[in-house]
This record gives sequence, structure tokens and C-alpha cells, in this order.
Amino acid sequence: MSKVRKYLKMEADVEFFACVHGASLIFLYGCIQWLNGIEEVPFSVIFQQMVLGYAIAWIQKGLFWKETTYTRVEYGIREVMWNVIPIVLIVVTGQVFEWLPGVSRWIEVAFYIVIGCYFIMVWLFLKYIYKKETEEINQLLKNRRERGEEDE
Amino acid sequence: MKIRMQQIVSGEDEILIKYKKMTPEIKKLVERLSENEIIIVGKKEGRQYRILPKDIYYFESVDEKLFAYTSMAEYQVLYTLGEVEEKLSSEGFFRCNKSFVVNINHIVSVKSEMGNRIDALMDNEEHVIISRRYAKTFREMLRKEEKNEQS
Repeated sequence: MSKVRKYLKMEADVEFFACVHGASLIFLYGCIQWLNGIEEVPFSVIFQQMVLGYAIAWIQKGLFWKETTYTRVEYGIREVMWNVIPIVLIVVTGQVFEWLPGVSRWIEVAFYIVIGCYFIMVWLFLKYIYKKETEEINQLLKNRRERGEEDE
Repeated sequence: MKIRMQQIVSGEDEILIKYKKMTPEIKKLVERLSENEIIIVGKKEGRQYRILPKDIYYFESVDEKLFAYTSMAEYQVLYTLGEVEEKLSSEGFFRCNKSFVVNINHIVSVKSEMGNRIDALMDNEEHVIISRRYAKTFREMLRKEEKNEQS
């Protein structure tokens, strides 16, 4: 039972990013299609992109899974993989399922570049959030230490 | 025996006992006063040691055995992680991941990382990871302390 509960908790963590990735993929794909004069997104593509968003969210979680300290290099590599793996997966899946049939190679490349930019932006946003949080917690720790020193 | 009390404005509360000879009466009094002090008993190379919580950096559970780490040595203790977490929460100890209970008073700085984990640097230069699961509790604990101090 505790294993199920643990899984459900992790699932809830992943679900947020899965939805964000899936929705963004569908939206950006829809934009490219719309610019190309097509106003519908087939359900099969929506389904594939939602599943892919879910898989990407799990992979990204898995990259920072361990409860041990990563070295600077190891952490950096994981961050790069956090961005690169999803882009590679999207390109491969897009090619296999032919998401953009009959469009010029440039539009296809533009779509993947926009997707790449999306992941980099999410990563930069998270970096900013974590930086702010680091500053806040360090300040709280500093205040705590100062209070302790005053008491002594 | 004379009892004298003095109120102080700042500094730590202190009880000073002056005696010419250690009598059973004074000994009993000392024991009574020490009852509230938490002492952790640790084992090392067949010997038992009394360790003060403030000297412990963290507890680590390895193969169902629990170890306490101080700046000098590591000791095996006969508690579970859950027990030390409960017993020492008032001393600034908190659960930071599935196998660690860490002393917040020895944390020098932290860094929030991807995956919502926190890398804590201890004053002995060691790094301890506060996992996603416990990071939230850690943040809330600090914010609550700050709020209580301000009010």
C-alpha cells in the first residue's frame, strides 16, 4: 500500500510538467499548422504529443532522482540532458509519426527550434525560481543563526 | 541550603550550584535538573559514549543500522531514524531524505536545485541532500520560525 501511495505522490509531481509539456507541444504544433493554412490538429497527434509530454516529464524527473550530491560537472551534464533529451525525442517521434507531412523542411526545422526554445525557457524559468528560493532560504538560515548567537 | 534566584536581561539561562562537598542531596538535585537534557548514547569500538545533540551533524541509516556523525567520529546508535527525528526535533534536527536526519544548526548554506531538491552545505564542508519530499517541510519550518520570532 505504501508503494502505491509513493507512486501516486510521484505521479502527482510528474503530472504537472507532463501537462505543461503536452499542452505546449500541441499549442506550438497547432500554431505551425495554422501558419501553414491547416486549422485542425488530428486526435492521433494530440494523443502522441500528450504521451510524449508525459514520458519527457518522467525522464526529466529521473535525471535528478538520486538523493546524493552531484558534482558540478555531473549536475551540469544532467541539466544539458534535461534540455537535449526532450528535443531529440520530439524530433524522432515527429519523424516517425510524420507530424508535419507535406510541409517544407524549413517549417519543420522552425517547429523543432521553437520546441527547443520552449524547453530552454522552462529551464531558465526554473533556474530563476531556484535562485530566488536559494536566496530566501539562506537569508532565513542567516537570521536563525544570528538569533542563536544573540541568545548565547 | 540557600536558594538564590536572579533575573537576567540577555544570555542563556543558567543554574549554578555551589557546594563544598557533593552530598546525596545535591547529587539528586543535579540528576533532577539533568532529566530534561537529551543525551544520545552511541557505540564505537565496543564502548559506549554519551553524545550531546549539538555535537551531532547528522544521523544516517545504513543497512538498517543508524549512525551519528560528529566532527570527531561516527557512532552507532540504537534508535531508528523516526525515533531520533521525533526525539530531537526540538534540538533543530529534521528528516532531510529517506536515510538522513540532519542538524539544522550545522547547515551553513543551501542551494535549491533542479528536481526541487536542496543541497545543504554543513559547517564540516559535507553536503547533504534535502529531497523534494522533505524540502517543503524544511522551508515551512524556517518560515514558521521566522514568523514566530517576528510576532
